[in-house]
Amino acid sequence: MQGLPSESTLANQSLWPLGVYALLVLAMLAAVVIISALIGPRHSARRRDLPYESGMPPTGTAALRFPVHFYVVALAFLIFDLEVAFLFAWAVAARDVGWLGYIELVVFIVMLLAGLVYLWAKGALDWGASPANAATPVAEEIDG
Amino acid sequence: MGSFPFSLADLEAIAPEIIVALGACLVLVWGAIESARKRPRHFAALTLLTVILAAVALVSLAPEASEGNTYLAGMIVLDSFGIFFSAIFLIAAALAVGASMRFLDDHDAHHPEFYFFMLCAVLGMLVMSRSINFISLFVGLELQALSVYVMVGYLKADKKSNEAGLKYLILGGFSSAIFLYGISLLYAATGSLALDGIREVILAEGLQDQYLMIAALVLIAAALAFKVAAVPFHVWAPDAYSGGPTPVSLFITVASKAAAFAVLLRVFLIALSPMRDSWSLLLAVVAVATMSLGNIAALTQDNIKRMLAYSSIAHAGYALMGVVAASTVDPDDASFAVAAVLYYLFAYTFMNIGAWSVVALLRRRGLAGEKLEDYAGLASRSYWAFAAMLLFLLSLGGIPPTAGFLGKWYVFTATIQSGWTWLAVVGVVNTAISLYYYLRIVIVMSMSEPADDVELVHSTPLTMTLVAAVLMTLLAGIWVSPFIEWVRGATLLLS
Amino acid sequence: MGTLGLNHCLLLSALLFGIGAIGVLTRRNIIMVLMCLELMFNAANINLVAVARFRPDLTGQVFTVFTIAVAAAEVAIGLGLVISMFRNSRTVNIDEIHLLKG
Repeated sequence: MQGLPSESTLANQSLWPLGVYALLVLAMLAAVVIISALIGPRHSARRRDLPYESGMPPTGTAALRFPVHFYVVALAFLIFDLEVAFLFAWAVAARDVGWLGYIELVVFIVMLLAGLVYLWAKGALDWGASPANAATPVAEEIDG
Repeated sequence: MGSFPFSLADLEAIAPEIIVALGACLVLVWGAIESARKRPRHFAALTLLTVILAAVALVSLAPEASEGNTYLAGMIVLDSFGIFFSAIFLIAAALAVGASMRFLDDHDAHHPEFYFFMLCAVLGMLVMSRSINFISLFVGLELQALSVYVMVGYLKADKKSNEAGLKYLILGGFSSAIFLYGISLLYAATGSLALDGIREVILAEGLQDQYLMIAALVLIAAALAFKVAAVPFHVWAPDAYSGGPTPVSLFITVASKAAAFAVLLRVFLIALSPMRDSWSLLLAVVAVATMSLGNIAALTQDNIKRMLAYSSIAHAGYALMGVVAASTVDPDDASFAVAAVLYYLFAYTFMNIGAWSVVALLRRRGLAGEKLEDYAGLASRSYWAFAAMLLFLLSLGGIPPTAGFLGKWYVFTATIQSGWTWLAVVGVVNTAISLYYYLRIVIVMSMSEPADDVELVHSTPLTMTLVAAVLMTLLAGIWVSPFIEWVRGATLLLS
Repeated sequence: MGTLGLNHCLLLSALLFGIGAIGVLTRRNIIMVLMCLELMFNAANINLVAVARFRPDLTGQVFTVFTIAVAAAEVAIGLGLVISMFRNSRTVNIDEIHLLKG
C-alpha cells in the first residue's frame, strides 16, 4: 500500500507463537471430536435427542420471549452506560483542562440528567409491579 | 490552562446551537414533569420561541461571517455559507411547527416529544452545516438523522409510520456506516480529519490517484448520495416520505435534504476538491439518473405523498447538477454554480413546504387524505387552497414568475457556463416530463367532482405556514435581487 | 508470520465491514440487521484507532469515542422502533413488513 507508514509496528516481537497456539487449540478440539466419534458408544433410544435425557420433556419453543418492559430498561442502560466513555476521557485530562473543562463536563452531565428526569417522570424506571403497572399487566413480549 | 482552546468567543459563535439545545431540553423536561397531554400548544409555542431566538442569534452573528473565523478548536466555522443554511433550517422548522399542530391533534398524537425531536433535528442540521471537521460533521449528521428516524416513525399506532421509520433507520444507518468508513479511509490516507487539512495533504503528497483515496471518495459519495436521496440510493425516500406523518415529510424533504447538500458541498468542494476530475463525472451520472428516475417514477403514482416524494428525488437531481457545475476549475464559474445550488434549495424550501402543507390540509374520514382522487374538485371546494397548490405545483415545475423557475434557470445557466451543456439539456427535458404529473394534479383538482368524505381542515397555524410559503414562492421569483445577492455572498470563502 | 502493521488493521476492518454489510443486506431478522450495522460502525472504529496509533495523531481516537456513543444511540433508537412495530404487527421479520410499495 503506497503512501502508508507500514514499517512502524504495534509490537516488535513476532506473532508466530500466537499462530502455533491457535493451531494447537484447533488440533485439540478436532482430536476430542474425532476420537469420541470413533470409540464412543452409540444407541438410539427414543428420548436420546431431548435436551434433558432423563428429565422433564420440554414444552414451548426454544426461542424465549422477554417482557418488552425490560427492553426499555436495557436501552436506557445502554445509553447512560456509554456516556461513561466521555467521563473517562475527561478524567484522564482533568488537570490539563482545569475548571473550564470541569464546567463543560457539568453541562454534559446536566444534559444527561434531563434525559434521566424524562425517563423517571415517564415511569420507564419503575421496576416490577407498581400501581400503574398493575392496572395494565405487562402482556407485551418480543422475540429474543 | 495549557493548550485547552476555549473562550467566550466560542460560546458566542455557537449561540444559535446553544439556544436550540436548551430549548430542546426544556421541552423534554417540562413535557415530562407536567403531564402535558392537555396543553400541547404550549410546547409548539415554546418551539417557535426557541427557533425565533436562535434566528435572532444567527442574525447578530451575520456581520462577523465575512471573516470566516473558526471556533471550538477548528470544529465550527462562522461563515455566510453556514448562516445561509442555518437560516433555511430555522425557517423550515418554524413553518413545520405551523403545519404540525392540527395534524397531530387530529391523529391524537400531539405530544411534547414531537417538538423535542424536531429541535434535536434542527440542532444536528445547524452543526452539520457549520462543521469544517469530520468529527463534528458526523456527530451533527447523526443527531439529525436519529431525530428524523423517530419523527418518521412517530405515529405509534400507525403500521405504515412504524414501517417507514424502521426502513429509514436501517437504510440510513447503513449509509451512515458507509460514510464513517469512508471518513476512516480518508483519515488513513491523509492523517487528517479537518476538511481543509485533508485538501492540503492531498495536494502536498499528490494522493489524487492513490487507491485508498479513490475507495474513500466512492464510499463518501455513495453515502452522501444516500443522504440527499439520489439514485441509485433513493429506495428509502418514497417509503419514508409517504409513510411518515405529512408534517414530518414536509420538514425532512426540505431541511434534511438541504443539510445533506450543505455537507455535500463542503466535503466535495473543500476536502475533495483536488480530486474533482474523479467525482465530477460520477456526480453528473448520478444527477442524470436521479432526475430521470425521480420524474418517471412520479408519473405512475396515484398517492399524492408518493408523487411528491419522487418529485423531491427529482429536485435533488437538479440541485446535484449545480454541484457538478461547481466542480469547474474557474473560481468565478464555480462560485456562480454554488450560488445557483443555494438559490435552488432556497426556492425549493418554500415551494415544497407549500405543496406538502396543502396535503396536510386535507382529511379523509378524519385522517390524512393522500390519494390523488381525494383532491378531486378542490377548486370548487376552496378557491384559496386550489390557487395555493397551483402556485406551488407551477413553481415545482419551473414555470415563471415563480421561485422555482428562477432556481431552475439559475442552475441550468451555471451548468452550461461550466461546460456541461449535455447535462443542462437532460435537465430541461426532465423539467418538461415533470410538468406532466404536476399538471395532472392540477387537472384532477379543477375538473372532477368533489368526493363526499373528504374535507379541508381549518387551522390558523397551518394557514400562516401556507401564506408564508405562497408569499416567499412569489417573492423569490419576482423581487429577486436581494436573494441573489444573499446567495452570492454565501459562496464566499467556500471554493 | 510478520509483525502487526497498519495494513493488517485496515484488512481486518475491511473484512469486518464486509461481513457487516453482507449481514445488513441478507439478514431477515431486524435485530440481526441492527447487530450487523454495529459491526460496520466498529469496522470504521478499528480504522480510526489504528491510524491514530500508527500516525502521531490522536484525533482518530477522539472521533472513536463519539462514534461509539452515536452507534449506541442508533441501536437504541432502532430497538425502540422495532418494539413499536412489534406492538402493532407482531413481527420482527423484514420480509413481513411491506405495506409501503409503488
